[in-house]
Amino acid sequence: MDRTQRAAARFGLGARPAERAGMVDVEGWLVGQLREGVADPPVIAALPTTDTLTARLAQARAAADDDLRDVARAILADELNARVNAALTTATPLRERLVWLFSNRFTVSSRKSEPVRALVGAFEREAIRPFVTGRFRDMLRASTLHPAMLLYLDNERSVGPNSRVGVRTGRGLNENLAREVLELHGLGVDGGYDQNDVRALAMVLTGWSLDRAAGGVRFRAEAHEPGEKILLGSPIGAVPPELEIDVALGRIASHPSTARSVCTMLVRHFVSDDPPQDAVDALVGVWRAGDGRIGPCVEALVRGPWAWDSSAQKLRTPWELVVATGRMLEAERADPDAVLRAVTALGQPVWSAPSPAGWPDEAEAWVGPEAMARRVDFAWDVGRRLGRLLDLDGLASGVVGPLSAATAAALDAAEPDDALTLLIASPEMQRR
Amino acid sequence: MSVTRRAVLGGALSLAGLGFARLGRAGVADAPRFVFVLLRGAMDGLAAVPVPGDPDWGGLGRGEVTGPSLDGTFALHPELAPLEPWFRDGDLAIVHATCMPYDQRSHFDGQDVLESGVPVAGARRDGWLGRAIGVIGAKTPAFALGDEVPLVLRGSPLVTSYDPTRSARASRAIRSTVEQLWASDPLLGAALVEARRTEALVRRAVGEPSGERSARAVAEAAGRLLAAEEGPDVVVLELDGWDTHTGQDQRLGRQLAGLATGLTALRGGLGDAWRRTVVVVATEFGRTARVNGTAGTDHGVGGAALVAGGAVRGGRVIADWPGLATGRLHDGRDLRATTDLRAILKAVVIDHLGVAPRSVDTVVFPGSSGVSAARDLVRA
Repeated sequence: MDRTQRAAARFGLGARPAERAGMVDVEGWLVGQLREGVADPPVIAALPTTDTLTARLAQARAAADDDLRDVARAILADELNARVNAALTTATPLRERLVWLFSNRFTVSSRKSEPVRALVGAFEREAIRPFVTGRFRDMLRASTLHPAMLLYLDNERSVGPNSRVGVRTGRGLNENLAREVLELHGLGVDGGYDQNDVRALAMVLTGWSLDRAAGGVRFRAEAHEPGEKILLGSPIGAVPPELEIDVALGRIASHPSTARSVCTMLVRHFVSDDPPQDAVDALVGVWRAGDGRIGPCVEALVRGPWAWDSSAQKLRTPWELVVATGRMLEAERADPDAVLRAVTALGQPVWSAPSPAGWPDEAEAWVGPEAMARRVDFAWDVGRRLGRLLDLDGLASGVVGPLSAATAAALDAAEPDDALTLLIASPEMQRR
Repeated sequence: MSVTRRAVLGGALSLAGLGFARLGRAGVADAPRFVFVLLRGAMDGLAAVPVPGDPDWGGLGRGEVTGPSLDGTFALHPELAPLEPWFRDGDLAIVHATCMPYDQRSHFDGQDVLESGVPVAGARRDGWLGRAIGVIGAKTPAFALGDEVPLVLRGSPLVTSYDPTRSARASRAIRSTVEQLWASDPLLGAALVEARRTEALVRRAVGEPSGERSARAVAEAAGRLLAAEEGPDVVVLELDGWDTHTGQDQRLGRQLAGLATGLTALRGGLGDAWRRTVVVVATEFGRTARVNGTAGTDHGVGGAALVAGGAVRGGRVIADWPGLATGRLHDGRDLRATTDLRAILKAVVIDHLGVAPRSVDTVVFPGSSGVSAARDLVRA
């Protein structure tokens, strides 16, 4: 096994030409990406904030419905373009992987509505990206109170039934966000909460809403449910209403079930569909020692044996496959629109997961016969367009490979037009 | 909202699993066909099939019932009105106050229980329908219409996925080379071989796919595949978008209109084979009996299922009605589930697909011997 090959595939996004030559110290290359303060790709840093975007949406809404749709689509197009660009060019691919992984845990899907479509990219940039190596509790708070999440899981309309607004209008609770914070973002479905906890958290969350005029988030005290709330066995306590959420999310973030749920997700993502228990246990120990910091847990995976075991092989999701292909081919050849069309055709349109549970991270969810046939279609489509333009021997040996004997033999035997198709379709590219 | 990967049917419906149940009927025009329609996101049973005849209906904040009445107690949502004649003709039964043995209100665990057929989420990696096909033995594969094979069909000895809307397809020569390249990879290799066989089977059964992408066209294609002599006997379709926490009237209306259109097109595609078909439309659980604070409903327990087809003894609502008074609701908020949905599914598996009752209790729905199959659901 070549450690640069494994590092680029298992922890990275697939190598770009010449990238592996720079990995003299493989662990150092990976761990260096986990330091706090590593800059975001410039194309990401250049995009506008949520406040700017919500103000733009408010203007469009005041004009006409058609404008709202067009503005939302234009914003989303910019965000998608930047995400693809960052994926194809970044020199810190492990960070990018973590962004996608946590963005999927805290799924916001553009399928919900025009405003969510416009804000889903900003959500990832503002609520996920800054925290992927930092404290999980900070990410949980940023995500829960981000306008995109408040919209996606309906909290912006949830009203305490005994609040002033609730009494006056008869409006009331919506449990959607509270349930998914406990079930998907935090403790995990068997993490030890019940319906009373869902209600309590929903009440804590009442009043957290959007300021549609000024943009951003607003706490509306007049919609907040008054009174004591009992969450996970103890009272939230007498704190100002707008601070209840900090008590609640702090309790969820520091719950042992949350540590186990996040660490299991990390091991499943980087090691195996069946996460080895000793790896999960080791990460949970690091999590505890590090006050719920994500970076040290990932570093433990980099330094531990599990991910380097050559028998453990994850299937690339469609997005991972298309990105790895684009990086191999050099970004200047990869048209972002073509990338987006390809992942959509392969069944994983960006930021469009069908439910708050996000995309599955297990091979069995991605290997339907139709899905596999589409992967070959994708390889063939790229191969016949670009196959003759590339130095295939160089790609096969220094970017994707070393190749298995079977793949090498197939490439040797292939017609020149087919060699790139076979390389993209090869197990070495389909798996990571 | 859920696991359909690509919006095959107008943004919502994907056909997951044309399964081939009493499988290998090749040449037996009278063999039973089965379609399982999986509504992901928890369809609001009390909106799809309202109960204006319940004395406590008015207290739920659900407004006036405007759809067709079924029997004086139950009615249909106005967007399901196209199905009312089916009910009158005996081709549609409604099951109400039903749920799988699961009351914890998580979509993802609820769907897992609905598909795996066992009460503990995550306990199995195969589904009740896949196992049922395994008991019968399959000569033709069970089809998922869509990209992936959903859990409910996994475990079938023959199963595939197929999307009639896919257009570009790589040459046979290159696919054959890739097949060889993957031959030593059991996961990828087997899937590609199955894809090739599936396309050939579809071509033999119904000719080249039209490539048309509308919901109606895809559902009709599913029906034609089922009707074809060499086609599948079992189909699973998945529909997303039922998680109506807010603004339910509008969103659910669109969803139910799509469901009615899809079922109508499916029936059209089936033609005479409708006579030997059972369609079960089910969801992971129902929603709160009362409207929530945002003109929607939150996750609940008891809900509704539809059982349609020419082979169904329909024209009735199957329910041990628990009532809507607060004291009668589950946890004071959700319609109680008085009919274990497994009773309905078992009836279909035994009386329609022909699985021996003993195998049903041990293999298809293990641990369900205390749940009796519904009687006389399927015409002999």
